[in-house]
Amino acid sequence: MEKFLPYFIILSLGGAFIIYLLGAILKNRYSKIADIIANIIFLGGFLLTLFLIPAVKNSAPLLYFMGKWRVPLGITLVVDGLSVLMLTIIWGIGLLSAIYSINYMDKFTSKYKFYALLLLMTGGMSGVAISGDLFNMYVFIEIAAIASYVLVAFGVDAEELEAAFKYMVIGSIGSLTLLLAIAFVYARTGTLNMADVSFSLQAHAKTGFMLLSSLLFTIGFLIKAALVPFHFWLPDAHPSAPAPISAMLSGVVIKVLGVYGIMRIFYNVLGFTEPVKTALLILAGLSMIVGVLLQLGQNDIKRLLAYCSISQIGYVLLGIGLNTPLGIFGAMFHLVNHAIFKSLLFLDSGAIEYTTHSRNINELSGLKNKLPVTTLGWVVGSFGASGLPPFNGFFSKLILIIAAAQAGQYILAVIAGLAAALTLASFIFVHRKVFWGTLLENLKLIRESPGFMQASIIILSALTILSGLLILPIFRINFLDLAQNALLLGTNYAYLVFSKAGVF
Amino acid sequence: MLLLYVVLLPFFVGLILLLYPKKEFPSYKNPFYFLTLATTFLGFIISIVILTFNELHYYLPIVSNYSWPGPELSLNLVATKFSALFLLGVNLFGLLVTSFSYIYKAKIYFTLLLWTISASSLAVLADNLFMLFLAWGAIAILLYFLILQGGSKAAPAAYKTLVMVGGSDALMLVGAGILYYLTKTLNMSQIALLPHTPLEILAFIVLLIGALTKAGAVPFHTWIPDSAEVAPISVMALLPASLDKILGIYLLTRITHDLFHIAPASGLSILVMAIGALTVIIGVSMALVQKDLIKLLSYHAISQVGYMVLGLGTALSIGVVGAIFHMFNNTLYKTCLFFCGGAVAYRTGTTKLEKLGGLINYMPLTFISALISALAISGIPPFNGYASKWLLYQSEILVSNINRVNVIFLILAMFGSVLTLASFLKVLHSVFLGSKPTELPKIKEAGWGITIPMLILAALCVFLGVYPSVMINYLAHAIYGVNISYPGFYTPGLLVVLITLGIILGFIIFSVARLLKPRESEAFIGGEVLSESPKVTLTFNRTQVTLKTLNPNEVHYPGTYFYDGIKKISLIKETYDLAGKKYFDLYEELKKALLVIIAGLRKIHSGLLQTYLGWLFLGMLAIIVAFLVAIFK
Repeated sequence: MEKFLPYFIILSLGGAFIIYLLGAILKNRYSKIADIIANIIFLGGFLLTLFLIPAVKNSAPLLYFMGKWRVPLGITLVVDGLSVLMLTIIWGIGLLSAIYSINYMDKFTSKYKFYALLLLMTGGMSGVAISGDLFNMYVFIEIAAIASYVLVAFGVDAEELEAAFKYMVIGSIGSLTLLLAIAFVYARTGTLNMADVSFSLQAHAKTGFMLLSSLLFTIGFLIKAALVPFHFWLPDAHPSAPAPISAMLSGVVIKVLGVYGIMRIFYNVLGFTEPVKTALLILAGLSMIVGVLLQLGQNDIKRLLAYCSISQIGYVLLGIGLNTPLGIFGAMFHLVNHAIFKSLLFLDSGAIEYTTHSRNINELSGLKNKLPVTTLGWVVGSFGASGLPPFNGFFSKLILIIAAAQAGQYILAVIAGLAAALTLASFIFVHRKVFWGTLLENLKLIRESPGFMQASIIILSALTILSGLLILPIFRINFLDLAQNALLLGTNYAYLVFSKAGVF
Repeated sequence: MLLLYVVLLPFFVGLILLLYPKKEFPSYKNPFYFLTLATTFLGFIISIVILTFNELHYYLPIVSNYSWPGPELSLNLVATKFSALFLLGVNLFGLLVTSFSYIYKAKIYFTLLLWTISASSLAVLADNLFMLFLAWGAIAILLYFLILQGGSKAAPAAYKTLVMVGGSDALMLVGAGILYYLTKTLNMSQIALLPHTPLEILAFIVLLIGALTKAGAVPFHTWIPDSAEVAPISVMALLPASLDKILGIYLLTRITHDLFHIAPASGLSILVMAIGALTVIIGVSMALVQKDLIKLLSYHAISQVGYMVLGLGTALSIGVVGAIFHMFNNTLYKTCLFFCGGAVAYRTGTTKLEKLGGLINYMPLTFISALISALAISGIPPFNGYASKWLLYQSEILVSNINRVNVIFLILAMFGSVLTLASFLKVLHSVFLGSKPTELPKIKEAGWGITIPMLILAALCVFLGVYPSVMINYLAHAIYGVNISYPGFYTPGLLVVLITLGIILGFIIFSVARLLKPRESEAFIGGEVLSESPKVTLTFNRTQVTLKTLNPNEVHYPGTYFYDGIKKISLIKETYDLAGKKYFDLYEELKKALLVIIAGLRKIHSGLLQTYLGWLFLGMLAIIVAFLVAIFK
C-alpha cells in the first residue's frame, strides 16, 4: 500500500494542472470535460482512501520516503489512523462537492479554473494529512489556504472580494505564526521531521524556546480552525464562496488545517502540555457558546451555517482539549459527523440559493412542497447539527458531554448542553421561516434543483442518519478507534515511525 | 423478546407505511388507518401479556466495555411491574388515539403515530440512559412533525415546542454525563444517589427540567397551549395529554425515587412540591378565562401535572403512589375530554366556546363522557380523580406534619381543585347546555371510531373511581413491594350507594317540582351580571322594523361570559394582562435576554478588518497570558 501514498498528491495537483491546461487550450468551452475529469479524479482519490483503511489496521503507520531518502533526512509521508480519517473526509466530501458542482457551477464563469482550484485545495489538504515533516506540512497548508482564498473570491462580487481579502490577511497571520513556530522548533532541534523532532525533544528538557513555539503553534492553528476570538474571517469567507466550496471550507478545510494540526503537533510531536490544554478548553467553551449565539442572530442562511461551524469546532476542540480517551474519541466522531452534516447543510443552502436566488430567511417561505429534497436535506442536516437523536450529532455530542463530565469539566459540559439547545433553536427557526409557512407569490414558479445537486444532498442526508452507527464496535475498531489510538500514542509516535523506518 | 416486539412492531409497520408509494386514500376505506389500528391493537395485547409476567429482560450490547473508554451503551430493556404498567398505558392510549384518527387521511400522520408509540415504549422500557435519551429525543422530533400536521399555521407553535422540548433534552445529556462520572454506569438500575453535593444537585436539576418540560409543568409548559390552537386534536390527545404525561411522570418518578432518593421535606422535595403547586394554580387560572375549548383543555393538562409533581415531591410512599395513580387517571379523563372536544370540533367545525351550545340533544353520548370526565378531573367522588387526589391530599397533610409551612401546598392543591370544577362548569354549560346557536349546522354523534374510545375511557374513569384499591395496591406492590397504609378513610362502595340514592332523590324532587309551577329566572352564566345581554332582536323587513322580545330560553348565552368578572378585579386583571402578553413565559423571557446578548455580540462583528485584527491580537495576548500563568503556577 505504501507506494500509493504519493498518489493523493499526484492525483490532485497533477489533475489541477491538466484541467487548467485543458481550460486554457479549449478556451473554457466544453465544460463537461472538466466535470468528467475532476469527478473521476475525486472518485479515484476516494477509492484510494477506502483501500487505505484496511491497510492501516494495525497501529503501525504506513511510510513512504520521497526520493528514497530515509528518515530523518528526506521528506517522509506518514499515514496512520488519524491521517486516514482525514483523507476519508477530504476525499469523501470532495467527491460529493464535485458531483454537486456539475450542475451548480454552471452559472459561474469557468469550470476549468474552478476544478483546478478545488483540486489544488484538496491536494494541499491531503498533503497536510499525510506529511510527516513540519516544513512540508507548512507548504501544503499554504497551498490549501491560498487556493481557498481564491475560491472564496470566485464569484468576483465586491462582497466576495472583500471577504477573500479579510480571509487572506488573517489567514496569512496564521500561516506566518506557524512558520515562526516551525523556525523555533528547527532552531532548537535542528530537524524538521516530526518523529525526529519529537524524539530529540524527549531527550532534552523543555526550554523556553519550545514553549514559545508551542504558543505560536496554538495561535496559528487556532486561527486556521477559527476558534473564538480568532474566528472573524470565517463568517465572511465561508458564505461568500460558491456552495460546494463553502461545504469544503466548513466541513473539511478548517479541520484539516486547524484541528488536525493541533492534534498532530501537540499530541504526537511536542507533547500535550498544561498551558495548551487550558487555552484549548477555555477557547472551546467560548467558541461553543459565542458561535451559537451569533448563529441565532443571523438572517443569511449561509452566514448562519458559518457561525454554526465555529460553535461545532468548539465541540471538537473540547474533546481534544480534555485529553482523555473518551474525549478524543468524541472529538474524532464529531469531526466526521460535522463534516457530513455541515457540508450537507451548505450544499442544501446552495440549492436554496440556486432555485430561489436568495439566502435571506425573511425573503423565503413555504418551500416545503416546491423543494422536497432540499427540505429533507435541511431537516436531516439541522437535526444532525443540533444533536437530536437518532441523527449523528446526538451520538457525538452525548459522548463529548459525558467525556467532559468524566474529566471533571462540568461547566464545559453544561455549556455544551446549552449550546446544543441553542443550535436547535436557531436551525428550527430556519425550518419555520423558510420551509414551513405559506409559499410566497414570487416563489411560485421555482423548481427543484437539478439531479446531481439532489444526488449529493440525498447521499449526505443518508450519511447523516447512518453515521451515528460509527459508534458500533465493528465500524469503530476499523475507523475511529484507529484515529483515537494514533493520538493516544502521544509522543510514542516517534518510536513507531522510527521502528517502521528501520532507524533502530 | 416480547419487549423487543412491542418496540419494533410499530416501528416497522410505520416504516412500511412511509415507504408505501401512495400518499392517501379516501377516509372511509383508508387502509393506513386499519393497518395502524391493527398494529396498535397487537401492541396493546402484547403489553397486557408483558404485564402478566413478573419481570422481563432483554439485553443487546451495542457498545460494551471492551476497548471502549466510555460508558456501556446497550439496548437493555427491562419490564418490571412498574414499567410494564407504563408500557400498557402507552399502548392503550396509542390504540385509542389511533381509533380516533379515522378522520385523518395522510399516510405520514399514521407513520408518525406508530413511531411515537414505538419510541414511547422504548423510553419506558429502556434501562440504559443512552437508550432512554435516544427515544426521548426521537419523541420530541415526532411531536414536532405531528404538530406540523396542523398545516402552515402550526409552524410557530411547532417551533416553540421543539425548542423547549428538544432543548431540555440537550440539557438532560449533561445530567447523563454527571451521573456517569459519579457512578461509572448509565444503567438506571445500578444508580442510586442521595443528592447532597452541588454536582449531584446539578444533575438532578437538569434531569428534572427534561422531565418537567415533557410533562408540561410550570415554567416549562408554554408550548402546550400554543400548540393546542393549531395541532390536530388527536395529536393533543396523544402527546401532551397522555404519552408526554406518562413519559414525563415516569422519568420524574425515576429521578426522584430511583436515580436519586430525595428525602421528604428536604430542599429538593420542597422545590419539586413548589413547582407542582404553582403548576396547579397557574394552569387552572389560565384555563378559567380561556375562550377556546381545546386551549382550555390544554391548560388543564398543565394544571393536572401539578398534582402529580406535588405528589412525587412529597417523597412519601402514599404521595408517590397517589401521583402515579393520578397520572393514569389524568390520562384517562384528559384524553376522554380531548376526544369529546375532537368530536365536537369534527361535527361543528369549531372549538370556540361562544359558537357552541346545546349539544346535549344532539350528542348525548359525548355529553355523558364529557360529564363523567369533567367530574373526574374536578375530583368529585366517586370518580377516579377523587380517589387519587384523596391520596395526594393525605400525603400533603403528612408533609405538613413535618413542617407546618408545607400546609400551603395542601391549600393550593385544594384550591386548584375548586377552580377546576368551576372551569368545567363553564365548559359543560357552553358546549352542551344552554341553547344551540342558530348558525350551527344539523349535527349528530361523531362516528364509532371516536365514540367508542370516549366511552371506554369514561367507563374506566368510573371503574377506577369505584375500585381504586385495584390500582393503589398494584402500584404499591410495584414500587414498594408492600401494601401502603394511609390514615384517611375512603370507602367508595358506600359512597356510590349514597350518591345513587342522592341522584334518585334529586330526580324525584325534580319531577315533583315540574308538576308544580316551575320557577323562571334568567340564564345562569357563572354568576356574572349580563349588562349587554341580547334580549331583543331587530328584524328589518323591507317596510317595517319588528322589535321582538325574546323568550329567555331562546337566547344563546355563550359560556364565555363565565368568570369574565374576575378579570375586572384590580390585581388579578393586571396579572392576566401580563400573562396575555406572555410576560410569564420563561421561553419568551429567555428569548428577550438572548436577543440583548446577541445584539451586543453582533456589534463586535462590524465587518471592519481593523477591528477584527484588533480582536485577533487581543486573543493572542490572552493566550500568551494564559501560557505565562500556566508556566509560573
